Amino acid sequence: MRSIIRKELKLLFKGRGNLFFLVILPMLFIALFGSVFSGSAYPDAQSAMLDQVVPGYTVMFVFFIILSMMRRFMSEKESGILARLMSTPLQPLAYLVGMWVPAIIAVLIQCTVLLAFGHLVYHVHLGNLLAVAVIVLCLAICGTGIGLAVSLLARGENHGRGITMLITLGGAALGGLWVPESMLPHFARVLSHITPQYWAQQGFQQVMTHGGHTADVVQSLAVLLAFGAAGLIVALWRFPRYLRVSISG
Amino acid sequence: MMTASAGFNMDCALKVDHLGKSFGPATALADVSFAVPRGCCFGLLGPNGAGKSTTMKIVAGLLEPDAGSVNVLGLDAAQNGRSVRRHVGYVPQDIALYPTLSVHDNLMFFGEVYGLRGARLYERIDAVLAKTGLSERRKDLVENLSGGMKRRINIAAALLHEPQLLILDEPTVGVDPHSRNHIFELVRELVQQGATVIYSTHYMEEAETLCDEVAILDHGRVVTSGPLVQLWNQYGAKAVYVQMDGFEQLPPFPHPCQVSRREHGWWIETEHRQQVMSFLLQQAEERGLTIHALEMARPSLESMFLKLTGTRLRD
Repeated sequence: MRSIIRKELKLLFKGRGNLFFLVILPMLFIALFGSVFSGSAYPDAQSAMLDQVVPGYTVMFVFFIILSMMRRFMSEKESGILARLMSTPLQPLAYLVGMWVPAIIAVLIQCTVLLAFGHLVYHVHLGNLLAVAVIVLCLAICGTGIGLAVSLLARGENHGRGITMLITLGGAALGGLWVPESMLPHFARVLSHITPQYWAQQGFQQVMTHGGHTADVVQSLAVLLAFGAAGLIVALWRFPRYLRVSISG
Repeated sequence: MMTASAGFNMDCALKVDHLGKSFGPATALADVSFAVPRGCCFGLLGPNGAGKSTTMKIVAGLLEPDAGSVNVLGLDAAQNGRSVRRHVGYVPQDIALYPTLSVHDNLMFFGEVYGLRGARLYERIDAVLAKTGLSERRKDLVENLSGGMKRRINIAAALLHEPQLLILDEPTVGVDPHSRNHIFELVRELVQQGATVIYSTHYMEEAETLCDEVAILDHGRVVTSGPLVQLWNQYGAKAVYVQMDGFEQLPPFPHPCQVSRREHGWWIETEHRQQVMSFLLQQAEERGLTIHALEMARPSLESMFLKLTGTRLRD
C-alpha cells in the first residue's frame, strides 16, 4: 500500500492541473472577493464577507478533489495499469486505500494553504486551531470518500464530470458557501442540510466567527464523517465490478 | 496455504485443463488445454480474437475461468492465487506504465509492489535495465521514450522479482526492428537461465524464431499443440519452389503434385520433393533452360495454420 501512496503523491504533485484547481484557482477567487470588498466604506461588512468567503471557497474547492480522483482512477483503468497491478501480489483493498490516502493528504494541504492565505493576507480570524484542524480532517475524509464513490460509479469522464459539478457547485449554492445561509430562501435553507458543504461551513463559522471549540462542532463532524463513510461503502460495493470491467478490458 | 496439485508433472511449468470463459453471450474460450514444460519458450498463437489474451489473463490470475483449471509451477492457481502471482511476471499488451514518471520511478514502484525493498530493489533495477539495454535512460520520463523503449521497460517491470514464469502478451506490437531484436535476445537469455516464457503473438515468424513449443488457438479452442518440429512434420506443407525461364506451364510430373503460381515462380506441393527437384533439373538441362531458383520450401506456421483451420490469419 505504501508504494501506491508514494506513487500517487508523486503523480499528484506533478500534475499541474491539480495544483491549479485545488490551490491556485481558489486563491484567485478569494483574492478577487477580497479586492472587491477591500475599499468598502463599511469595514465590518468587509470583515464579515471575508469570514464567509475564505472558509466558503475552501470548502467549495475541496470537492474538486473528486475530479482529480476520478481522472486518476480512469487513467489507471484505461492504461491497463490497474489490470497489471492485479497480476501482482498487491491486494485489491490495499490498492483502493493507496489511491484514497494521497487524496486526503492533498485536501489537508489544500485547506492549510487556503486558510493560511485568508489569515495572512486578509486577517481572517481562524479561532481554535485544533477545532479547525479536526473539521479539515473530517472534510477531507468526506470529500475524498465521495470522490472514491464517484470515481468507481462514473461510466466515463463526461459522466463523472457531470456528477462532480452537481455535487461541487450544487452543494456550494445550496450549502451557503456563496452567500450566508440566512440570506437563502426558506426551501434552500431546508435543503441545505442534506449537503456536506453546509455542515462544513457551519463548523468553520462556529469556530472562526463564534469562537467555538471542537465540542461545539461535533454534529458537523459527525455528518461529514457519515458522508465520507457512505462514499467509502459505495466504493467498496462497486470496486469488485470496477476491477472486473478493467481487467476484461 | 500452498497446495500442490495432485498428479501434476513437476517438469511442467504450466498446465491448463479444459478452460472455458464467456463474457456475456460471447464465448472467449470454449475448451483450451495445453501443458508447458519448464525452461521453454512456449508460443500461444492465433489470430486476433482467438482467445490468447483471455488465456493469458487467466494464467496470470487476472480472470477466473468459468470452467477448467490452471496449475502454475505445481500450484492450483484457484487456491493459491497470491503465491502464484509472486512467481509469475505478466507483461500486458498495453504499455502499462506511468508516462509522467521516470523509468527509475516506474521500476521502483513495480519492484515495491512485488515486495522488493532497499538495496535488493536497486540491484534488481540495475539488472533489468542492463538486460533491456536501457541503463542510460533511467532518468528519462517514460513519455519521452520511443515506442520500442517503452515496450522494453514494460517487460523490465515484470522481471524485477525474477519470475519463474513470464507471460508476454504480444510484446512486439508496433516496435522498431532494434527493439524487437532486443526483446528476442532477452527472451532467449531468460530461457537459457531457466525461466519459462509464454509468448503470445499473431506474427508466426516470431514464434518460428523463438518458440520451442506452440499451441495454436482459433475461436477459443486449441487447434493443435506440441513441439514446433513435430508440428511441422505433421502439418507443414511439403513443397518445392522453382523459378525458371521458358515454361508457360510446367511439364507433367511423374509424381503426384499440386502446382500453383507464386511470385515469379511455381509452388509445387508434394510428398516427393527430392524426386521433383531432380526432374526439374533434368528438364532444364534437356531443354537448355535457366533455373533462377530451386529450393525445398521450409514449412511455415502460416501454411500450417491454413491447413489446420482452412483460413488465413485474420488481422
